[in-house]
Formats: sequence, C-alpha cells, structure tokens
Amino acid sequence: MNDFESRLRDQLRSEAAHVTANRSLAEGARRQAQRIRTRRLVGGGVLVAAATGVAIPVVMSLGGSPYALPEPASTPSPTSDGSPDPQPSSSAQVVSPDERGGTTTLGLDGLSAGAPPEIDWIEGQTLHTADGREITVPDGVFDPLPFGDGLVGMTSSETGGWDTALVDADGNLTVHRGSSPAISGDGEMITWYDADLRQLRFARAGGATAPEPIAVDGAVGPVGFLGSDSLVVNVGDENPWLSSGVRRYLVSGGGDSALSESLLGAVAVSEDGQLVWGLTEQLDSGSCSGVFAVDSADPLWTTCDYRFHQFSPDGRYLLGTDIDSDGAGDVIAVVVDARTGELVHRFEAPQPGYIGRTAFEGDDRVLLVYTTSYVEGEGETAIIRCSLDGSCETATEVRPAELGTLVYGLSPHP
Amino acid sequence: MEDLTVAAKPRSDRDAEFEEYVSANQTRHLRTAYLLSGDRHLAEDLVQDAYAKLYLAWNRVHSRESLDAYVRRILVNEHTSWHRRAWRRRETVVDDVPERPNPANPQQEFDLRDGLWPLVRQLPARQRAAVILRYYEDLTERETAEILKCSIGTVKSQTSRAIATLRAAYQEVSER
Repeated sequence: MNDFESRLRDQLRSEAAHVTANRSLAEGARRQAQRIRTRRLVGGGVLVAAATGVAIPVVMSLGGSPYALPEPASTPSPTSDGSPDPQPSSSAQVVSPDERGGTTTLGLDGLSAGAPPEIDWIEGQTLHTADGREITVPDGVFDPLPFGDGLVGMTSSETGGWDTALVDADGNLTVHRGSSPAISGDGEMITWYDADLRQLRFARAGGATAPEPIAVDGAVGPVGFLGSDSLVVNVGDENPWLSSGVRRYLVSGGGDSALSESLLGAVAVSEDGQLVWGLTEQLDSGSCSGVFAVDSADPLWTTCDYRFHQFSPDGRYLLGTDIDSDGAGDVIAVVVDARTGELVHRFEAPQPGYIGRTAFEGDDRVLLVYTTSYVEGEGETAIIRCSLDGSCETATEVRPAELGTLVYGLSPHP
Repeated sequence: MEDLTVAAKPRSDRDAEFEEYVSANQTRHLRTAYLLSGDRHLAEDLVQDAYAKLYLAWNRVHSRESLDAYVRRILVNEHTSWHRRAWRRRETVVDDVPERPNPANPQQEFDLRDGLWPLVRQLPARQRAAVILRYYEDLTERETAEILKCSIGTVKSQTSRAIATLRAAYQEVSER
C-alpha cells in the first residue's frame, strides 16, 4: 500500500468514526423481518390447498423424482374464447397474494436434463443467443442483450450511474452516455436517453437508418416499446429514476401523451403494447404497484407484496418476486395473471438456496437461475426450466456455484 | 409445508443471539453503510434491511464469519440495486439529500481540508464499494470479489480506476 492508499484508508476511517449507533437496530429489524415472514407464510398456505387437491399444481420437493414438462398450464381464468378475463378498469382490484396456484420447492437432485434455453442466456462471459450464436461479453458490461451482430448492455458511468454499451461483432465497445437502453420486441431497435443532449436517441441493428432523436423536457428513462411505433418513458425533472409520471412517445417524433396519472413510474410493458406495470404508491412501509391497460386511467389491480419485471410474450402473465430480496438473491419467484393479479404459481428456494435471474422462455414456461446454497464451496447452480404447473427440468449443466463469479445468467427481457 | 432446512433454534435463543450480534456489530456496519451511501439516514435503512434479512436467515448462516460476509453482501448489493432499480431508488432517495457536488465537475466543491472523502463519494457505486471493502474493511481482492459478485480481475480494475480518479482529482486541486 503506497502513501496515497494509506492516506485514503486513514481518511475513510476518520470519516466513518463520526457515525455511531444511537439506538439498537435489533427490534426494528425483527419487526421488519416479521412483515417479510408474514408474506411468506401467506404463500405457504397455498401449498396446503394444492396438496389437498383444491388447487391445481403438483408440489415438487427437494430430491424429488425427475419431472417432464407437461402440457401448458391452464390456471388463469380464461373466458370462453381463451383470453383472460379482464377486470373492470373503473375499480382496481387490490389483490391479496396467493389466492390460488401452488408452490414448487426448487431442487436440483433428480431433475431430468432438458434442452438448452431457447432464449438468450449467459454462461460466464459468453452470451448465448436464441438463434444459436455465442458472443463474448466484455468485462464491465452488464445485462447484455443481442443487438445486430453484437450486443447492447449497461456499463458503469463515470458519474455513478449507468451508460449504454454497444459491442459490435468484432468486440469493439462504444459507450453512449445515458440511462439504460430499451430494446424493441423484435430486437431490431434500441433507444436510450442522452442526458447531455436531452434527447431520446435511437439505433437500429446493423447500422440501418434509425429514427431521428426526439428532444424531451426534463429527464426521461425509456422503459420499453409499445409495438413498433411508440415507447413508454418515465419522466422526472432531473432524474428519470425519480420519475413523477409516465409518457408515451411516438417513435416518429409525432408527439407524446401522458399515461395514467396513477402511474408514478413504469417498469415493464407487454410485448403486445397493451399492458404496463409500474409503481403506484409510496408508503412508509414500502411501495405498491399495479398493472394498467395502456390507455386506462385506473389500474387493473395493485399489489404491495410483489415486484415484477417481465410480462410473458403473450402478455398473459407477469413474472416477479417478493418485494424484499436479500444479499444472496431472491427466495421466491412468482407468476401471476397479468390482468387479475391472481397467483398462477410460486417457486421457492429452500434455505440456504436462492433464485437469481428469471425470465419467460415462452408463454407458459419460465427459466430460473437457481443456486442451492450461498455458502462458499457448498452450492451448485443451474438454469432450471419450469412449467406453470410447477414441474421442472434442468436447461443447463449443474455446476459448482462460484461466489463472486457469474456462472449462469439470463438476459433482461426487452 | 415440509421443512427441509435445519431445525430452527428456539425463538428466545435466536433472539438473544441476534441481539448480541447486533449490539456488537451495528456501529461497524453502520459505518460501512455510511461510506457506501454517503448518508447517515440511508445507512441506517440499509443496515436495518440487512439485519431483517439476517434475522430471517439466522438458522442457516453457519458461522460468525458467514454472518459478517452475509451482512456485507446485503449492504453492498442493496445499495447497488438502489442505483439500478427505478422504483426502489425513488423510494429511498427522496429523503436522501447528501450534499453531493456536481458530478460533471468533481473538483468544484472540493477543499483540501475535507480530505479525500468528497471525492470518494463521487465515485461510481461499484468503484466506491470496491474501495471501501478493500481500504476500509481491509478485505482481500478475493473476499471483495465474492461480495461484489464479480471476478478478481474486475475488483482489480475497479479499484485501480477508482484510485487513479482520486489521485488525479486530488493532485489537480493541490496544484491550484
């Protein structure tokens, strides 16, 4: 350690020494833990219903026998034409968690080996694309998605945020200042917010002509495309992540309009452009969120128990997790009916296991990066494919989990 | 639900052990959280979040060494995720009004009498975490990599980049 580093260490210690605990944090932590546990116990109650035959799914326990993928689940309440039963938009339904569905306790022992993932997935520093290509992900680039012959991802900015990283087929990295990019459903176009120019900017795969930049007022953060002609962005005064509203912009630059005033910030949009999920309320005890039909003022339903990150390709389901996660990863993953919020299935990592990235592989299957233990030297990890009735198989080899090393990952959904 | 985990300790034993651990470590964890976040109130939220999750996981964390690693990982990951998660960030940052200098001009409010801390606060989140774990917590590169969930090479590069940034900024102000 040289003199400069020694000075840094001393000054960090000096700065930290001013901080002291004025009260014990144990009691507050226990109360917070109790709230988390209560939610988990509510989820556990569903298992009883499933085991007694009231609900549909199979319950899979650790060390269970191999499972084959069954026919697609039909748990959501379909109407006669097979479409989900919409809720009236005039009165949002507040959903209690786990009103139906079942729980799968994840495990790796005895799972049958299935085909590799059919969506983009990550193995170490390699991005495997759905069309069978392998692209090396440069160090420092996170959340890669295939884009053209290369990839697009995020990289740390020099100002503490995140910038957009484009990597071409030869591995050349180009960094665009601006918030994390959104990619179109067909993977052919990306957009990002350039904070210096105050513009939404676009790029097309293969260098094809992209739409002209759109000048915006305030800071915006792209969330996702609605079809091919418009996109959803969060809007804030200076920081899109402190957004106070959500707007839809026409890609052509032909104008913009506000989405529901109840939507404080959007997080995911369905590929068909019909549904948006996002934040609706800030409470001392946490945040609540809801699903909106894109042109509706009122949410279809809201929840304060889960957070979601992806709609299924057909927009019928939402994939998410408990509102709390811990240092290792998530303990549960849930699939709910996107239009009603009713639980379709719950996947639970038995202690000391955890769930990493999750993604829909199709309309009725999910992939989960599951690790059996966060304890160094004890864990194994694999990408697991599960149907919505809870039966699972491995989609990759089972490998030792290496703390500090990304063994498997899944690309963020467009 | 069938409990597939180790047998839980009686609540009273667990509570007593938990309180003992919190009492012995909360100041240290608060200081780490403060260096990560740059804000005392946010640091307290971070530590309480971490302890809540630790309490739930108490029976599956095997040793005191594991406890510390577990808490550090939660602190760092939760803090980093606040930068990346839109709604969580909104939830927490509204009350977080650190006196943060303009990132576009890192030296503008820097005063030599303040030492390096104002510059550390302007480092990107992961670089700052790497610096704090390496130079404040005195963790090895491997231990730091485990907590940051990255390779040792990334720890080296993040730390080197951070030190170079701090050194350059400090020298520039010194030479004025």
